[in-house]
Amino acid sequence: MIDNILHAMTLVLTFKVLAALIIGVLIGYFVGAMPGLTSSIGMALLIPFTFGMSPIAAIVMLVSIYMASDYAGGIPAILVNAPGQPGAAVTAFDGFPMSQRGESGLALNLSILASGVGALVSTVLLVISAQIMASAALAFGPAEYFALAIVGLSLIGVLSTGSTLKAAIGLIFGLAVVTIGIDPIMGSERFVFSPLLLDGIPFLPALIGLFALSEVFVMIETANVRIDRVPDASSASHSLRTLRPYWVTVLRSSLIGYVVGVVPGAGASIASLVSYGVAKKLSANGASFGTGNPEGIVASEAANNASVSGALAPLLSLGIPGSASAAVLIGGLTIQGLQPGPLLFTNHPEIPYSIFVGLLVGLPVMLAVGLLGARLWVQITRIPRPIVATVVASICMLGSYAASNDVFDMIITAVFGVIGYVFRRCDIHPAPIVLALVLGDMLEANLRRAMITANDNFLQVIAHPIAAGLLIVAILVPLSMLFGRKPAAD
Amino acid sequence: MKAAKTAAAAILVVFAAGSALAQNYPSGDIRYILHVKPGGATDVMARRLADGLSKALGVNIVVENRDGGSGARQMAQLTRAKPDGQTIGSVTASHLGMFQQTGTYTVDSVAWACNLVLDPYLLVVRPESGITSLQDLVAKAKAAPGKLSIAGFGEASGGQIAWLMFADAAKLADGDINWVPYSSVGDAVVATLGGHNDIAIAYTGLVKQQVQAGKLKVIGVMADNRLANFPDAQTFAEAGYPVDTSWQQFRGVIMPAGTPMNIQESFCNTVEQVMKSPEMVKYITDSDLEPGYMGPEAFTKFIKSQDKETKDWMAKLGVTGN
Repeated sequence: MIDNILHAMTLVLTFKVLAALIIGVLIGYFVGAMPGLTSSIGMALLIPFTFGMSPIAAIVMLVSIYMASDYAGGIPAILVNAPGQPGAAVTAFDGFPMSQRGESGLALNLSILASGVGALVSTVLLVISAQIMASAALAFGPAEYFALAIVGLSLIGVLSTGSTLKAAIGLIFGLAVVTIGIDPIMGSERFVFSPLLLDGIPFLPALIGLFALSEVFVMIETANVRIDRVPDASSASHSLRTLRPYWVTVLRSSLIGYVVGVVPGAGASIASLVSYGVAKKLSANGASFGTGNPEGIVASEAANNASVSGALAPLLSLGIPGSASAAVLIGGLTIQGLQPGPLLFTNHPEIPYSIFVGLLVGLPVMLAVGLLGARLWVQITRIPRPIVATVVASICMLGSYAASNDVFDMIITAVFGVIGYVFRRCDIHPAPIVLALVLGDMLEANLRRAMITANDNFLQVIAHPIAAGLLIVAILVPLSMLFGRKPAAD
Repeated sequence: MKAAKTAAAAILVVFAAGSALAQNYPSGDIRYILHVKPGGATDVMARRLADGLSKALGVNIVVENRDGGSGARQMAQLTRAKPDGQTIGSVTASHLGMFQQTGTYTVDSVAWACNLVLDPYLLVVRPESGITSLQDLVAKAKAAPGKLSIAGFGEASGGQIAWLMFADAAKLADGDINWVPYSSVGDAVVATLGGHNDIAIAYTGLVKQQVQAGKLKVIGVMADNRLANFPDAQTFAEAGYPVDTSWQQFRGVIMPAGTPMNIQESFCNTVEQVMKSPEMVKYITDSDLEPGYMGPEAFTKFIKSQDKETKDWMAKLGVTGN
């Protein structure tokens, strides 16, 4: 292994590859910070530019985009409540309230530092365990995915602040939205009033509407409110001191992110939701999550960046993409004449090891851009609200159009913007809605697949050991809420 | 009679306009609308083709991804475009399933310009499953109906119809082997690799590495001849289950309905040249695809028979569509 890493270093530490890495990080920052442009879209759009590059430079550039954009999604989430990546939606829960308190500089620094640790821990885990974790990815079949989705939904009580009834309303609304589109098993249409809705309500435009556009409406309402901002103490060393009490959360979230990332189909969004839920449950200040608790940002960002390396484990060891971006990476490798699969480590060890080295070398570059840039980005909060609202609204529309070049998606964003606004006015948090949108299809399609395989015998479905274990966790989480509420309220 | 005259006149006009157009075709940049997300196999191949076409034709080929609605978003764009060959689109077998499901579009909504490649269906199992051949599979299914399951893409998809053809030839009853639909062929292969289903129906490119590594075994090939990649795998007919082997996954190019035939031909001739270029041949070999170029007439005929077969099998399945 050491030989392979040293060999990969000689390949990566060349001018061309390093230049590709830095360009990748910068593009990643831009793509990640633009709501609507996800890392997978950004990577896919750049694939044609890699035609003429060497395989190592091409892959290192694509991986740098992937990692950097997953961090950068947190920047607009913190500053204007508009997550740049689906995985950053959870970062907004505490990041935006902090920003409103005038602590945007600190929030940004915390998010980049936590992301950095998450990326480092998970990359080390990837180097050590890529080939072992591959079997974990294969252990997940329909029954296990169904159980995983139930665990996710059981977090609703933990994630929501305030009324459980209101959280349940949000959840049911989200699940109802997911039923729109072609039935995943029978192939028949459900609530499809336009052929454009055959694949259901597109997730990204809906997310942009729920978070960012509804925030614009709130901004318009409060346009004349003057906020006296506290001077922002946001030096890197101060941020490091603030981070120190949360080191356990950072490490735990990195581990959760990595493991969730390994499971194909469960990406950054689920990783940060689960990690946030666990951190809130275990934190001494769990009650203040959602009101600008730094621990919430840390939990979300460490996990969503760790899931990036996690998604690479099944890709490199089995040729199975752990996320949409990993699937694009397969496209990038194929163009270079390399077929990812179980033989990649044997036939082309320089590829996985260059990815490992690229991730590690890219980390300081990503941190530097993030920490230096934070000083610049916080200036956004000094811009008068009406201007910010206008710009954010245009970016929302542009972003939702860019996702699939279709005006129809802008209509979806507008509709969900209004829905999100109404829900906010009724004090219904977007977290349960996001949870349902992310997990709804996983829940339904996999339960039905498992039922077909088991000849409609539900007991046989839950008899799978992993599925049974997950379902027990799903029952214990709400129970622990019931009994654990009193001490948490103190 | 009057209708016939009008039709004849219309044909003449179209023909005249067409020949005039063909001389200065292409008249500018060509829009190439894809029905898939960026990054997948179909997208990568289309971008490769666009690269070659743009060099050969001397105009830009602007690739746009209009994914969503199982292809309906792309169809909405394509059917609105002028039928002058300046707008083209990607097509795969999944379009035929979408036509059945929605009823909004049919095979006549577009012109079937040319086919690029073909991809025969394969049946694969895990070595641990103990299934050694197609005959063995059928015998095991008959011995314990409902115990085995097959993973594939979607409902009423090309893959499911291929499976139904096999099941019909092997006289398997409904429920002997359960069909479990996944959202992509890749997901179905992964589920079978993990042992969650016993069999998968897939393509060469998706399983070749796993077969080389000994993690999957090809037990049957839906083609006239054995494949170079899997010389030991029998064809369905060799195993005693003859089926219509023209039923294959395809990737082609479509144009708005009414695009003049000579424009289609002029475009497709260039496509045929590009497909023969060394870069493209290497890409096709690397991706384990079968070259399967068809011009406008052959491709249209191929599609009509595929469409008829889809409808027949959907009727047998009890899925009527709209």
